Amino acid sequence: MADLIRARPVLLRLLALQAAWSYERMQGIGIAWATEPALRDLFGQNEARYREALARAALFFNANPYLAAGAIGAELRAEADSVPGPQVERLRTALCGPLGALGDRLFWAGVVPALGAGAALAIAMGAGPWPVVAAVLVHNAIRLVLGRRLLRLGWNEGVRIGSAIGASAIPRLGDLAVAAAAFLCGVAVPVAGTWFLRQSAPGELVAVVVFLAAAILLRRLMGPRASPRRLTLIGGAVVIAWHLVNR
Amino acid sequence: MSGLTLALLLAWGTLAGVDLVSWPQAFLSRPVVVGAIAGVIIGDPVAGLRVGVLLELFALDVLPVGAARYPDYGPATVAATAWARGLDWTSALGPAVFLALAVGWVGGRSMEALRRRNGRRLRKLEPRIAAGDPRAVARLQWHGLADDVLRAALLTALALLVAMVSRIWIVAPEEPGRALTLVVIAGGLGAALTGTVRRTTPASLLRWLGVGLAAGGVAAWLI
Repeated sequence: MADLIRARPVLLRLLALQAAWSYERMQGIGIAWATEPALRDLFGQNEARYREALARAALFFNANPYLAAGAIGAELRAEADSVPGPQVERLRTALCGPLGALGDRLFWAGVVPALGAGAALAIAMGAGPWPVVAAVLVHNAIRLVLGRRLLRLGWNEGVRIGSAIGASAIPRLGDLAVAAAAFLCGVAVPVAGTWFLRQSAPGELVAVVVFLAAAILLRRLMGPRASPRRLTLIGGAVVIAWHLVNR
Repeated sequence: MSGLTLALLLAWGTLAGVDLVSWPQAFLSRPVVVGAIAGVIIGDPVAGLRVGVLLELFALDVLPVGAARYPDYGPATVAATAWARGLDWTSALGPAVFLALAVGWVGGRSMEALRRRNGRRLRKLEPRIAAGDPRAVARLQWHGLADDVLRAALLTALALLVAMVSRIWIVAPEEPGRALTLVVIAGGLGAALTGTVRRTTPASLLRWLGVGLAAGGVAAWLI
């Protein structure tokens, strides 16, 4: 890969993949921005070919931002191999689903909540602010190493990237990360609850349990419309209004 | 609060807001991270940690997939930490986090407006993008990033202003402040639990939530 394209500029630009996110093309412009240095490496002498590939790179795309490097590698390889344009477009479209589903599972349902809950748990157990530093470092180490490997995998596999990712460790890592997140969130809830409510009176604890049960029940019955955040805002507004009326 | 502290809070809130989507998505927008750093900036690290941990529980209910609308807790956490600094947390945490939840909602709406604005700019440059003009791509990218910096800075400034004014005008009396604190704690715990249930698939993996709750119960009892 290093003979034909430089990986570093692509990976650096991938950090701003969603800077021009729009409902029309979602991450398309970001993909074009990230692939541009590599397309220049590939077709620098052929302006028409370069522009044609860049226009294709800017088409609609949406996947998990941390796994998009795989799509970029595959697309660059397809362009380098002179795969016909419509086939490159189909490849992009086909990759949106798997890279989105696998990445969302690995990061949004796994790594990110696991690290967030882990840091909150450690702070509640008296570890001070250092867990926060550790969480940031671990998140970025995972994300950068994975991005580099996926770019290389995409470049090596080209249009076969989908099956290569399916056969890789990513799906298993996703399951592992989701289980870890569920476990850490489970530990964090009673520990953080105790941290916050240690000095509360019995009546206050009962009030918290009732509100918590209502939040869970309403979410179960009414779905995302009855989120605990919304219920908290309503409950808080009631407390403030009650105070204003009775003071 | 000194001018330097305010400037640092503004810069930190802006970075946290931009990190959410545009750049570099490096875990800096998580409330637990934002609160810890804001607490250090403001000279009350414990307040930052308490606010950060509680808002992190709310953030565990967020799934930022595709075109979903979700709150921007970064600038909100900065403002909440500024609100809670130096006060008795048992009555200050509630109003601070309540403010943060409201600011987070506004932040989510502002992100939606930014995405529409990116779309309008894209439509104007459509012919050049279709022709593979690298300058048009760069322009969209840089303008989108600059707009998000502006959005996050304005949101942080507005949130800090509301925090400072409400601290001056609304002296948190102990009783409603305490009641509000209990509401936000219960809401945060509920958000963490329901969020975990929602994103944990297949359902067989939910046993890990049960194991975690049991382990956490034992740990809480021992602590």
